[in-house]
Amino acid sequence: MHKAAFKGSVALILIAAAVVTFLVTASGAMAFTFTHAKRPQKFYAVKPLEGMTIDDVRTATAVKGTIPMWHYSIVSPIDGKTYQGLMVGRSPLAGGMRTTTIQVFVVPTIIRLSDGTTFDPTQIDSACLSSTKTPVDVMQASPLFNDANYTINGQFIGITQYIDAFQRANFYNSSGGMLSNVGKTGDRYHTLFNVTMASPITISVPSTKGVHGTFSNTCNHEETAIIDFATFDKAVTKTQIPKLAKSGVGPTSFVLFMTHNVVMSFPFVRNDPTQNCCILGYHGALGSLAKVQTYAAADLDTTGLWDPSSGVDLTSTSHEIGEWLDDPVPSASVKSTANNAAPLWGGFGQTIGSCQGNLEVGDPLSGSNFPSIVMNGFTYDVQELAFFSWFYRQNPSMAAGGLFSDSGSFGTDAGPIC
Amino acid sequence: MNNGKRIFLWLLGLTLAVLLNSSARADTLTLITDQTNQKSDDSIDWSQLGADATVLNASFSANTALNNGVSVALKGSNSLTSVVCTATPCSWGTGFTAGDTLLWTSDNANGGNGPLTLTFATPVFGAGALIKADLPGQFTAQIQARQNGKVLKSFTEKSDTAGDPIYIGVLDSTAANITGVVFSLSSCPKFSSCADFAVDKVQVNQTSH
Repeated sequence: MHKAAFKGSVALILIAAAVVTFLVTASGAMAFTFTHAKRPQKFYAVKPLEGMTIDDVRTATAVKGTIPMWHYSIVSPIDGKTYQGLMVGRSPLAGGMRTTTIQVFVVPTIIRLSDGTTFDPTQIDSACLSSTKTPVDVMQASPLFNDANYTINGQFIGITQYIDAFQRANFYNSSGGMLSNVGKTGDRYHTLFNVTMASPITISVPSTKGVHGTFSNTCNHEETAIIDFATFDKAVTKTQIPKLAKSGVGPTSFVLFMTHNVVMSFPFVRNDPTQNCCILGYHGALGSLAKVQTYAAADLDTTGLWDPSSGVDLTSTSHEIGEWLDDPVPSASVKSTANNAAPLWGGFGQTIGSCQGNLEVGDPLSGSNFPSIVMNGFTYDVQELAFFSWFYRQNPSMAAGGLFSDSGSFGTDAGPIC
Repeated sequence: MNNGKRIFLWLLGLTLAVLLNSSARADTLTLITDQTNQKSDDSIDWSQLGADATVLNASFSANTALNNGVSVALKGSNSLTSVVCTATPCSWGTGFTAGDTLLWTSDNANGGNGPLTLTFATPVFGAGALIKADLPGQFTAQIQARQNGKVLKSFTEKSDTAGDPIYIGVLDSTAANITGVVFSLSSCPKFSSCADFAVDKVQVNQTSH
């Protein structure tokens, strides 16, 4: 991993460390406890694609060396610069509208710390989730992979999966020179997931790269693991993704590593693991020649630390899948010519006190939820996501209801350049 | 020269004459770029395959309005019928005739199943259709006239820079020598699949005009 690739994320994490105060008490070689007046700050990160240009990825797409992606280009009214990027699926701006189905592998990821403690999403969590269903079961039955009825900003969007509903709403209408047929074509445009729950994997984390302990005010005093981001990413990209090939995982599918009550820090500080903490999920890509593998990792939390609502906490997972959908190959650069770059924005979500220059639909609304979705016996919390028009200051908004986020929190665009 | 040899040479000459005559007729094929100039008397309406968004196999049968059987072949399955807006439900928004059913060669990723090969049960004088690449941008359409699998003639035609639909057809003004036509794109917008395009109702010439 190259440190430069994490420049933006690291900056955000360091800012967080400065504004959140923790009292940490070591209570054993591998455990920690602490008390604090407010919950820890949460963050999301990206792992940029290295060594490939946007045109390389477009070539890979054309020869089916990766998942289906479409290309956009827009002159932002805020600065007159041309921005371009890639999103997953077929273009909502093209001639034909149809359903694109992406194969998604959800990989239950067991984190084993050096003292033998495991954080396992395949085990029932009767105290804080369900007495009959594992976190993996609950994820599989969720609105991320099953249909629900969506009206977004007053516009009926359809009966579909949450991320598809978001994307349909995102490009529902035309604006300026960008002509969208989504709203005009009824039920024709969809980007759906065909999910396969893969066999669980185990990642063993050395003592220098992971700890566990109990934050205050958690459900049933459940523990959380804090592990080193780089260690985790190296394990999934260098070892696990290649090994998963025999299960069908490859560049033409998206792989989601699902953890349970596991967060990350970068860089990890053994003596004070809450420093540079807490990354709840990230998405990334790796590739070479004409093949690109996209992937993400997200935590299903049952401690109750991170979600302001009381439902099943899919805020991190919805955040990451939404961001992957609209930025499947993150760039390390914030130049306007970089993939999915956007005019600098800030002061929202995870960017309080800082600026960000990419189209990450979850980041500006981190902490804000879409209305809870009840299905399959559970109440699910998913995150509210920001629309394309918000980032590029496109007025009027292309999105459903003419608003700038899928639960209406953003009634105007991102405003002046940060 | 005995009678047997005479008959053999006579038959040989007759065969050569027929073959040369056929070739001569095939050479009269012309490109048609305007539907009105096709002067068709028959057509293949893709709505016979089903409603909007009907999923298609890689090969299937269809009929012209005058009941000439047509074998249709694509490179793969999961292409669609696609009704042009403003009909409801619909897909393609601009450039084609509203309400028409297109044959869209898309696949279920973001590529396509072109070229589109049509083989007629009874040979025809000509055929043509409106055609458009899926993504915006200039494309070059190609139509190939075939006789029993052999290429009689190929024509290409370039769209405008926006990639609006263009009409491309072929006409044999001397005889119904065309047993099949192939629609394809020989160039398409950068980074897109040339196998991904839509074809409107196919105009067919069953008789000479």
